[in-house]
Amino acid sequence: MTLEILAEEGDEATLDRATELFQERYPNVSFNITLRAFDDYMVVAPGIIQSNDPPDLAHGNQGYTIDGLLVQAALILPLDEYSDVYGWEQALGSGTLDQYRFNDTGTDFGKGRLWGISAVAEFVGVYYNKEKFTAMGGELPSTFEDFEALLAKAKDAGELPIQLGNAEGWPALHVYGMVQAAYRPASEIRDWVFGEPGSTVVTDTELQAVDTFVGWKDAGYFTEGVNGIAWDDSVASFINGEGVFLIGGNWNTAALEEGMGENVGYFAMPVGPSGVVGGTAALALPWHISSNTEHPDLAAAFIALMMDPDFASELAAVGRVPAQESNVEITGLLAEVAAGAAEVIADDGITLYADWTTDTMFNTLTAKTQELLGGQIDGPQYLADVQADWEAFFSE
Amino acid sequence: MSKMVRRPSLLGRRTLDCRREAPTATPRRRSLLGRRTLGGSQPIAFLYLLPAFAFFVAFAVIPLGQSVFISFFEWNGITDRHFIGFENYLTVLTEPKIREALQHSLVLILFYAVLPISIALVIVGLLVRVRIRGQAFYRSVLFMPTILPLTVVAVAWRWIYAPDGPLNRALDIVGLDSISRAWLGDFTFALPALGLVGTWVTFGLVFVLFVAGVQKIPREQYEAARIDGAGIVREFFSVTLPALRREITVALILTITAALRNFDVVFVTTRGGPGTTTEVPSVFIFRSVFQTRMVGLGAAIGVVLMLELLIVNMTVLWYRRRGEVDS
Repeated sequence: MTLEILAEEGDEATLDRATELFQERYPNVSFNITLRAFDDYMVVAPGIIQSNDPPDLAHGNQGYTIDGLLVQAALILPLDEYSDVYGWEQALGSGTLDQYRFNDTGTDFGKGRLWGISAVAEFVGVYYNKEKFTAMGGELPSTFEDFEALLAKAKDAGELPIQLGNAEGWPALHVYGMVQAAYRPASEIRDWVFGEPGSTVVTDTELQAVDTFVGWKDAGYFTEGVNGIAWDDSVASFINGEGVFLIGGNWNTAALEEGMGENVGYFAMPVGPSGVVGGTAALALPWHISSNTEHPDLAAAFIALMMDPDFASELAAVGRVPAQESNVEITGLLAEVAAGAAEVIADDGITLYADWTTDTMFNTLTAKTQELLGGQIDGPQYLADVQADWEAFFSE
Repeated sequence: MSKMVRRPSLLGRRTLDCRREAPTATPRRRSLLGRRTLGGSQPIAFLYLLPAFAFFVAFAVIPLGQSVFISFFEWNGITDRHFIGFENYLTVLTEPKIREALQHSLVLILFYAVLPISIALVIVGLLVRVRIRGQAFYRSVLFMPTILPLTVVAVAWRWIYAPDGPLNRALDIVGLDSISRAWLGDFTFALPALGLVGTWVTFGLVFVLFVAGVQKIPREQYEAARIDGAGIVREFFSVTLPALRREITVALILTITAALRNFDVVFVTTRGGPGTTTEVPSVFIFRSVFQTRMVGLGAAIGVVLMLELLIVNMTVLWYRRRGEVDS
């Protein structure tokens, strides 16, 4: 038997290990894996999954544009029964799995049956340059206020507080997500992402978050010319010693550790007025089983292997953060990243990715965040424009 | 006068070569054409056209027809489509973001077509008078941007425009550090900055076209103009410019097309940002079809863009025809 897999290339190393272990258990199974880079993947995957010869297993992406489409077209199988059998819901928590739920017509996100699953956590957090941090007399912050004080301290020390390149529009969105979670309860933000009636970003607390974020820019806490610098270039600059902090996703861990060795640390954004440690975070791209597969149980067994607590050490070994608790010994920077993720999970502070909210929200948020940082629009306008996208989508 | 005779321009000498070939070449070609009039007598001629025509139909006509067809539907590319008539076109014409993108493409015409053609004309006008050693070398260098893949061009320019890139360094050195900035992240300068990339790309092509055109101008025309006492400006407007009318038309059509369908440079550098300041129709089509999955809307933008291209290019052709009738 052969399992055909279509995957986003970030999981290449994970799949190498998983297929090897699976074949130890089931020697008669072979794999045929196709990998694509993220941007490319999101463009071609729905078409390939819809084709006459679809892969048995494929990645999707949370939200309406990929997962909603796959559910609507009945191209993937619900996984609830497998979740019961393998205990995924108990392992990750029911609320955590909402991001993989849709109603059967793919029109209501966050509710209904479970259509995908992943064992990997993708958290945005704060990386810091340990040498600079110590030199300016910094101490690990325990509140959001502490963190803001550190930014001021870094600026006074003549350092660039936050290294940020926002040419793509989404990197600053991740930074904003941390500020947002410091002010607003995570559950409110999740409701907004899932389109709960009456949800809005036009609130006083949200405006406080926006004002704080813009205040950071006005105080010169971000890289000069932030909208003209590509994210990858800003990561390279951070590695080369420009900037005390880098706020980014944990998928940057391997590159940062390789470039900076022991000089880089990580913490979750400490607690702010919202009262919980929160931030932009979610599980990784979901695995889906094709509704046209001849081996659904085999495909599920393969997913189960990747979901197994025993596999967590393999995930950590390839630099991915396991989403569930395990006794795995993790070392180096990844240990700090995993500890930060655990803090957020313990506080129920996951706020998901705002761009999942509607089919056009990614473009709206990236453009509006650039305009906010460029001084083209003010805080209230920013929130009104973002909410307008939300209203337009959910009023239909 | 004697000075000029002693120092004939390089261009002038080349035209002599052309003239020597002309008497033999022209009659032969004419007689060939005369015997092989198309149609009637030799229908087999159409058979030779068939392969190219088949390709044209398969890769241009059919996809075009499909695009037009799809543009009348609401479709996510996967599930069933719904016929919605002209609604997508209404969106194209009324949605401010799409109109903004169409306007940007008009600004790009300035940089991709008007600017390079103007510069090339000035230089060609000077070249007629001045002799430059190693012209072939310069021509190859200037033509380079045209043959480079646009993604490579875009990556290179992204670096040039970067906050600590060569452009800003140069400005700092000459004391203009007050105007140095992250060019591609600037709400005012991002679009012109991308436009200048286009100027750089199309200039070589336009220039080579014009140099070739100038070489066909009989040297006597220049001599006659000079004997009549024409200065360099008069010579340019009375001899060079009218003779280059065909080349200018070709250059306009090629560069305007490049400007309107611009995708690579924007996608690699700004993706339409900052904000929506460099949004162009082709990036919008990509987004509609592959990101927001409004395939019908993407097709409608494509059709409108094609019509825009047709109208602009037909205007260019019509203007040229009118010019020929006048003269």
